[in-house]
Amino acid sequence: MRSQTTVAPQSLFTAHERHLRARQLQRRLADRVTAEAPNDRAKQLQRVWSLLYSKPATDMSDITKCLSYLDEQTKALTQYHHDIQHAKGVVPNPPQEAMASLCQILCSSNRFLYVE
Amino acid sequence: MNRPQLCSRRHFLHANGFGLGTVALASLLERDGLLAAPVKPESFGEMRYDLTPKKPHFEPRAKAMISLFMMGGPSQMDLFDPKPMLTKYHGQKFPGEIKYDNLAQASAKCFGSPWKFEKQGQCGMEISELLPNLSKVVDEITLIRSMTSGVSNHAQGLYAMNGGRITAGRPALGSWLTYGLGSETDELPAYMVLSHPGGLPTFQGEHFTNGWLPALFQGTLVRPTEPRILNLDPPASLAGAPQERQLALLKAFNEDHLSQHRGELDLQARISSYELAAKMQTAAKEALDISKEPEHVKKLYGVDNPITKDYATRCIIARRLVERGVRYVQVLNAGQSWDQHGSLITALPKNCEATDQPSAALISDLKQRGLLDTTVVHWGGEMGRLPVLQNDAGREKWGRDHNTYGFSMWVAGGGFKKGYVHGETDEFGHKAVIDEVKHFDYHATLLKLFGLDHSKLTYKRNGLAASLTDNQGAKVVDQLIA
Repeated sequence: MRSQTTVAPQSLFTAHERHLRARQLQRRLADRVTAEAPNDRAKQLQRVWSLLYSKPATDMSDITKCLSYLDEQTKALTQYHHDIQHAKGVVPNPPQEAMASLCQILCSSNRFLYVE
Repeated sequence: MNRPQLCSRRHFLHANGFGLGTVALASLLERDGLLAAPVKPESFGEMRYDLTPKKPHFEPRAKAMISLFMMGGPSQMDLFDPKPMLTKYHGQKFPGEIKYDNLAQASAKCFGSPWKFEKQGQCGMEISELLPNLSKVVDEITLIRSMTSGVSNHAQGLYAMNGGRITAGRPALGSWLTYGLGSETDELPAYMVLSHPGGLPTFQGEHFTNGWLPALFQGTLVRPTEPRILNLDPPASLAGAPQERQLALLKAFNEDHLSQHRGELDLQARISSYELAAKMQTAAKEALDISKEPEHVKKLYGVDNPITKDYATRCIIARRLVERGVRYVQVLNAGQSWDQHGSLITALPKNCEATDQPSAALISDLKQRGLLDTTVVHWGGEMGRLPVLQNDAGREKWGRDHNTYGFSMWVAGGGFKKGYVHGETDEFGHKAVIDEVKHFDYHATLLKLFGLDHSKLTYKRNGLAASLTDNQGAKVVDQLIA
């Protein structure tokens, strides 16, 4: 039944479930592409595209959308971490979290979920 | 943004594998003068389904429905359909032919109901002592004593009552209603299913499948205990604007993807499900939480009693969902708990104790809120039971076998008559003999109350205009309508 359903609780699952193994993989994907091309977001995004979709991002507007998403999300996460008290030893990394949240979106996208 | 339209692998193979043959066939048909006028290209490729409210065919009486589905086959001659003749013949051979389902344990001995019936309400409807609470609201209900569906087993009974035909794979009633009418809320699923702590009924997801209707119209299953819907809270770091930003980007990518795969209904449904999921974060939490319901309401349903607590809670939730614009809610039992092939004398009262008070309270509560006029409440299963014994191995083991040739169910509200009994079974309660209501007649009548003409509520499928009643000769039973 699960493979045939498209109800909202599934979307809540992919969007919110914290203990999902996929969440770890999305973080590791973010770490991997950042390590491969430090300080070059566009290059990192091209790498994500080829790893997830097995093709380069040919539409530059996709890359533009992602870059502006990463900027805004990094700002918001920086503010979030500034406002809360962290446990000792926890060093937040907002740009990396932003990249991981982007990887989550791409992994939840129909292009990734449905095989043509 | 200009992208070439992609040709999927499937389309390529289809066109090349079948393409030449099709050309050849066309020329042969043309030669023989058999070629029909070219069909207008279907707009399917551009079809986009949504859940915005749709205008029915004519003025509706009902706007929402709560179905209290009792999988297993509630015993009509012990609950709704008194048979003095059966009591008279108790223990004697049944004077006629019986259609058994379970031959291994079959017996021809009549099984008179061990329970008493009395006239109730202004209307004087006779109801079993097993349903003391329903007895108090009989003036609000229509009791149909002449339901039939024709094949005496659970699967076929379920398919008939829920899908319109005795075959599998068809859309459930709730899917048809949401397909035909959309939803009055965009913050909750249009079609919700409240499951029992003991698990789903037999045939599980087939109770709330969209069948071949678009994926958007499938029922959303709600967990039986808290948290009833998982993952309603986003991670703290992404709550608010960051999550909106995430969803906006996801939607942009998915819409772009859909534009290259027009008419793919699953892709559409997935996009809608993310939009709904975002809105549900607060709306579902509020709707599914009965803690702020007044004490007298909780007591009316029986939340204070451990025996009725689960069903009472789910009936209150069903009412809350309908109040908030959900089109169709189904409250399910576990397994096929009404399937008393044996130990009926001890098992049936237990089922009634757990459900009678909450079911009756739902009627009173909806009425008091002015919602009963526009909300159909349905109580019934996929079939009924036989007038003869099954498992003749001592009184405590007695049961009854399946029967779809005449069984009872009740409906209330939404334009159904009040305090009305429709149809009759024979003197022993085996077969419907007066005013038989076939499952598709019931569906046609129900759709009429929702302002829908059953022959016009269709979905184009494989060149057919497929419908719930599916050309079985369904007739609206006007006597059921107030």
